[in-house]
Amino acid sequence: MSRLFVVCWKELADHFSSWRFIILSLLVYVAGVMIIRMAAQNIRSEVTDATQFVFLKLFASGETSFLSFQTLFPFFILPIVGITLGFDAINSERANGTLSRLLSQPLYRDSVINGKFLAGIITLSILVLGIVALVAGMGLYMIGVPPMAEEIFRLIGFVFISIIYGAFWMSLAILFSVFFRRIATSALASIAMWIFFFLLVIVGATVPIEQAILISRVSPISLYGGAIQVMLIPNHPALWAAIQQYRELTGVLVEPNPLSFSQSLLIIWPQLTSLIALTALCFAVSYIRFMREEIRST
Amino acid sequence: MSQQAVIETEKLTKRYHDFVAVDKLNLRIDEGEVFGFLGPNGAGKTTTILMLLGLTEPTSGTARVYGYDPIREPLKVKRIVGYMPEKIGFYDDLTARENLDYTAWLNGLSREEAARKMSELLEMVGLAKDAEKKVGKFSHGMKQRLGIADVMIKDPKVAFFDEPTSGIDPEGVDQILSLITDMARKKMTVVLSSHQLHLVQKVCNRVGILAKGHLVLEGSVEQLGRESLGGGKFRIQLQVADPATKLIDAIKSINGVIDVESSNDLLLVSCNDDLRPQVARAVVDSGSLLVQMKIEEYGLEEIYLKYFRES
Amino acid sequence: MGKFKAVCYVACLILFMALIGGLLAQPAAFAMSKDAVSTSSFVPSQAASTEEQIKLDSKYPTISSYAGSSFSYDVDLSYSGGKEPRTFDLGVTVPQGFTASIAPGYGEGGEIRAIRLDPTKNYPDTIKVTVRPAYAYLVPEPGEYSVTVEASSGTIKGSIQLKAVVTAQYNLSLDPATGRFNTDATAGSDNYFTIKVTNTGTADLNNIVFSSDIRGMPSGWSVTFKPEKIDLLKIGDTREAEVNIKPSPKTIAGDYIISISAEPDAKIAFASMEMRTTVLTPTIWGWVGVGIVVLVIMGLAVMFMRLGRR
Ligand SMILES: Nc1ncnc2c1ncn2[C@@H]1O[C@H](COP(=O)(O)OP(=O)(O)O)[C@@H](O)[C@H]1O
Ligand SMILES: [Mg+2]
Repeated sequence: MSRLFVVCWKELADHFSSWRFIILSLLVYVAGVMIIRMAAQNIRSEVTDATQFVFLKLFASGETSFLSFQTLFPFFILPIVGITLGFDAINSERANGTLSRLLSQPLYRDSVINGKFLAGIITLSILVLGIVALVAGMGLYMIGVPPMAEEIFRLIGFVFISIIYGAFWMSLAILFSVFFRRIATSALASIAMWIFFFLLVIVGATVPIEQAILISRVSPISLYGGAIQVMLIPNHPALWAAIQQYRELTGVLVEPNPLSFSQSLLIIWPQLTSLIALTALCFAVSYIRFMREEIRST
Repeated sequence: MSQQAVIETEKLTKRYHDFVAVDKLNLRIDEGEVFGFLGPNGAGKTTTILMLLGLTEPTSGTARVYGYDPIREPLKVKRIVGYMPEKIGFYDDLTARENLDYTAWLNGLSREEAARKMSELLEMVGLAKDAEKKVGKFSHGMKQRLGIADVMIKDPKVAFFDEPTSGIDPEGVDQILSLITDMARKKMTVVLSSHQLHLVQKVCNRVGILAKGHLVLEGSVEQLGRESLGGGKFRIQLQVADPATKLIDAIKSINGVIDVESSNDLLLVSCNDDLRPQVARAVVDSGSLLVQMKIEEYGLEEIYLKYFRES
Repeated sequence: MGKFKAVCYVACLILFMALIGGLLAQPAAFAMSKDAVSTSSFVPSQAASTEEQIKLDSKYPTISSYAGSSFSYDVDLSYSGGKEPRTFDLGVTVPQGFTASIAPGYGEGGEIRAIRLDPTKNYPDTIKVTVRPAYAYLVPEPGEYSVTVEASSGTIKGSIQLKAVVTAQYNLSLDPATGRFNTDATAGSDNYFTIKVTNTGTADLNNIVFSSDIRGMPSGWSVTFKPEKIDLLKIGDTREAEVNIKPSPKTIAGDYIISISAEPDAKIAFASMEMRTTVLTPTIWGWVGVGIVVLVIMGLAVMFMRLGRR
């Protein structure tokens, strides 16, 4: 176990002294500033008398716009961060000739993958927590409405799901880094998967509903996107369809009541477990491949 | 055979599809030996070492390092084994010290102990000046020396060096080999794999020659030389104007001379040491005229050539 | 003298015949007797031998206007019976508190005191009589006032009575007391500023109440006035009122336009103003926000120093 932390610490140090991390943080924090600027423009028009969660609006404003968490996180930031942190995890060590030396030290092979994964998760968490805290801080300064307990829970939920989703992309990239000797190949394979799922979501908007539902249950982008919608928008328009039906039947106009946090969690439970399962699957395959593999330095 | 075998293999076999890289290898290496694991490229040396380290699984047969199975008990083996791979690599953007530190840490050394050992070893391998330089800027020879320090930092009981001399200039080779023999003096078992027989034979007290996955010869250098050429380590060839039997007897009586053969005016003296001065005096004392004299070192080279010419 | 009698006789005959002819041609003419009389006066040259006289007439003899404004009348002067042009003095009698001026024609030229009229002209001359309050600060009471315009030359005199109906003007103005149309407000707390309301009309105003409206107003705001109502605001008087804006605690910081209006019960006057209200973050949350941002940056810096090498 302690060896795992040695690997993790070393990898963390690697991340924190690499250009890669600096560029990633720039990407993430610039995105954060843009999101908050966008929110600043939209929030006034979006907050109405009925808005209960004003602070949460900071994170959910401009839903359809490009510069929002709902677009940037599932489609761009988290895949990019995850892939960047994982695509050369194993094969760079192999190419460098350090893997033979590393694995001749007294540590289990899975400690290498786990340590790297853990370091990646920590780095990812720092980035995600950073952007969320940054938006929260700037938003608080800007709108002056403090978050309620419920909103804080929801934000924690959002951060948690985001980390899982980022971890999925990282584990996928690590999987490719185990399978492909060449760093360029694993990077390309990861990017190809990203584009594939990206396109799948775009296609999902055009196909009949049954297929669209199927896609939304398989594509990690949709799984995550759906989950954070429920987290960030307690009375999401998705609920309005049912309300509309009710209104047509009874003629009674009701505003969709915001879901409670626990209810929201219940709703996104399938998405969450699917994401975790996908991550675990990538891991299992990486382990199976890596554990019994011959480690030759040439 | 009361001594503990450091390495023991039994019918160790590695097959890649149809290709047999290591074929039923039986090998025993005892404590404190400097074992030369020799053979041409592709003979299966690296594959054997990988199996001993648990970095690859044997197809059949068993390997034991201090009695531990490298596949079942990898950590026990790796705690006592040092390995310098064929193509040694370090983290290019870490300094020499940071690279060693990582190894030390992975081996559970305390910070103070690690720091002390690192300074000591970097001094020893002549990299004290470059300790804070990034390894990415190191030459191949420097990396090789750092590799030795990297092996040493965990104080292994047995160390494997896979081709430590390839791609290094002659002085570098001497330096590296003397570092390795220094290690041997610390009661450490050393396995030195190389295809450059003539470079490493001097430092090995036992060699095993591997060809096409088979161990074709095994034994001490002297023993092998004697066995194959029936003589000592050196052969002095001298041409004398009129060789007399008295002269042959005189040479034979020199301490250290094993055998003397004569054919016409040519005398072949096999001996364990460089006895040219003594032989020259004997010739002069016998009143003969010395036309020319040269010394040949016998060693594994001939054996090696012999065995590999055949194959 | 006999000759004069003969001329008079012939004139009377012609007049009689003309009367009969007119009667035959337009039987309804008698119904508008007044008109008929005035119409008759526009036939001067033929009646050159008739009595020398001056007549004043105006098409719009009654004008109604807000107090404080001026009244302008066009007065037609027709001189008849004379043989040569004659100068008439002009005079206007106005009620107290008013002053008047006479200008030629339809207002061109300066003020005139007399006019020379030619009896041979067969159309009247027009003068413009303007009546205005004598003092700007003393607005006349609403009511009916009569103005007499007189033209005289020796014994020949003529006059006309004009009527000025002064009606009341109700006017209010509303301004911030400081003159600045923007203010700051902190969400969730009381924010005061003062407005002043002035009766700029010509009549007193009763029961002026204030109201407010916030554009796209988020709920939970309250805008209250102290006093809530002004019972009586005399002409020209100014009163101050204190406005308390209390944005709801959930208000997002930024600018909001608050429109404030004042209106008497009777809804006879209305004044409004717009106040740009900048809702400021309550200082504590502003600092907390800044604190979080600083913490993020410091946290990253610490991470870099602790973890990053060299
Ligand atoms: N993964 C592999 N698949 C097939 N053949 C292999 C593989 N690895 C090594 N070999 C073959 O096994 C033989 C032994 O290789 P190696 O042990 O590296 O030789 P050397 O004695 O030079 O170290 C070589 O002929 C090599 O081609
Ligand atoms: Mg080799």
